[in-house]
Amino acid sequence: MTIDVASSVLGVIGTVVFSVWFLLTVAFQKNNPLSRLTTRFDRFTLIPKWSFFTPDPGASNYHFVYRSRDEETSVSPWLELNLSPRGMFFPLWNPRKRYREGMIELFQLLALASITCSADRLQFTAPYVILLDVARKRLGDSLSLQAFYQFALVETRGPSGASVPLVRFYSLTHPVS
Amino acid sequence: MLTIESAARITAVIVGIGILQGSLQLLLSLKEFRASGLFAWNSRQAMVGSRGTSREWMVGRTGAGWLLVVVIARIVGSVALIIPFQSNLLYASYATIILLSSLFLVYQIRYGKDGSNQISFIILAGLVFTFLIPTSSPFQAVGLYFIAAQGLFSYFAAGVSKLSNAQWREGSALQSILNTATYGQSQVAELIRRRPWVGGFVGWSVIIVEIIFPVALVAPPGLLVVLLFTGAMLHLGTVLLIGLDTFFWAFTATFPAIIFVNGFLLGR
Repeated sequence: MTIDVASSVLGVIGTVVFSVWFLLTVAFQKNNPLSRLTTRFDRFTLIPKWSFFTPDPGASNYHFVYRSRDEETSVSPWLELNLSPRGMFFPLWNPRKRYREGMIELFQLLALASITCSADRLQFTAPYVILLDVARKRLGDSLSLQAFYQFALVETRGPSGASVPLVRFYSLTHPVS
Repeated sequence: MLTIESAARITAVIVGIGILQGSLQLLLSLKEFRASGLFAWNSRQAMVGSRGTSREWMVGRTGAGWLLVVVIARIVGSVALIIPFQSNLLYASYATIILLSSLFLVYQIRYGKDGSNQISFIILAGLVFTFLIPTSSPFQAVGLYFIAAQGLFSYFAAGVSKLSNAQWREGSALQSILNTATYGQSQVAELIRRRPWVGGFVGWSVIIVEIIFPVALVAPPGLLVVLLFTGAMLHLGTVLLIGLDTFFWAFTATFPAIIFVNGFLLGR
């Protein structure tokens, strides 16, 4: 008897939770006040937005480049972080996918923030700080404490080398120390 | 066509395979989360949001250690979820462990999530509920209804979203995607460039299949099989061409729930 009551209570709670979850999912597909509110509070991204390869079907390649400058020497050439290495079995085994998609998400967030934020404020946004950290780590121990470094985001269209690279963003030059 | 028990069990096996695949890949990438790794910024982000030092255990060596524990728990949980002939309570506890680990990973790894993570979470929530509720309860199938509703809606919403996009309507979207170094396949992109009607045909086929997919809910058996087979082939295509490996398991795991609800609605 007690189990029946408990399962009924659990059943009603579950039905309400799943119904609200589904209705929020439906409402979240369009940009409206409810979806903006959901985005603000949905820390665990429980409400999905099903818009695969839209509104931009993903025609761009994003490139993360970085360089350093020592006090005595000239600026180093731009180095590129390879985001698209694929093994032979990539359809079955693609462990770099999450890293690559995380970087692309950061590029898009930074490009978006660069439209709305001033250069002074931009350098304190999370995507900027994180990408700066990636550039610092990639340059590694080769940098002296007196050196400076910066990164840039470059966009190309089509296969490698098929279009003129478009620089979407230059970071400021930051001291290593 | 399928009972609640069998639909839940098949769903658990399929979603378990996908989670196992994703977790093994994450296990091999763990070095990227240590302080010197390229992914360290992910965990540091948790600190940025915490405005204090209470979450220091999530960063550096300790953070990477906890991440390892969570990933191993996911691997063990997903293997256990796949193994047959266990009690519903055990399956519910395995799904709960994976569900909690998913929350931890979402919090710890802020960037780079995709739709397969979200649909897997939805499926696991539905499964925990279905496995917890006694078989005698009229509420037991609610978890499966939820999985089926979210699965069908995901296709429909994606189809509508593509329909409202000019590149998809003109048939050039597929070539654009396949032409990139990130997601692309240069040989297939070249084939579509030489025969643009192929891109248009495949693109419109994807839109139409996604939009009509909810018909599966009330489709007769023949049409149901055709719709689900087409959906599975769509995911297989994205696996082979674009490399969205975990999407196949995550989205096809909703199919047993769709079959169950179809049988329930049509009184089979």
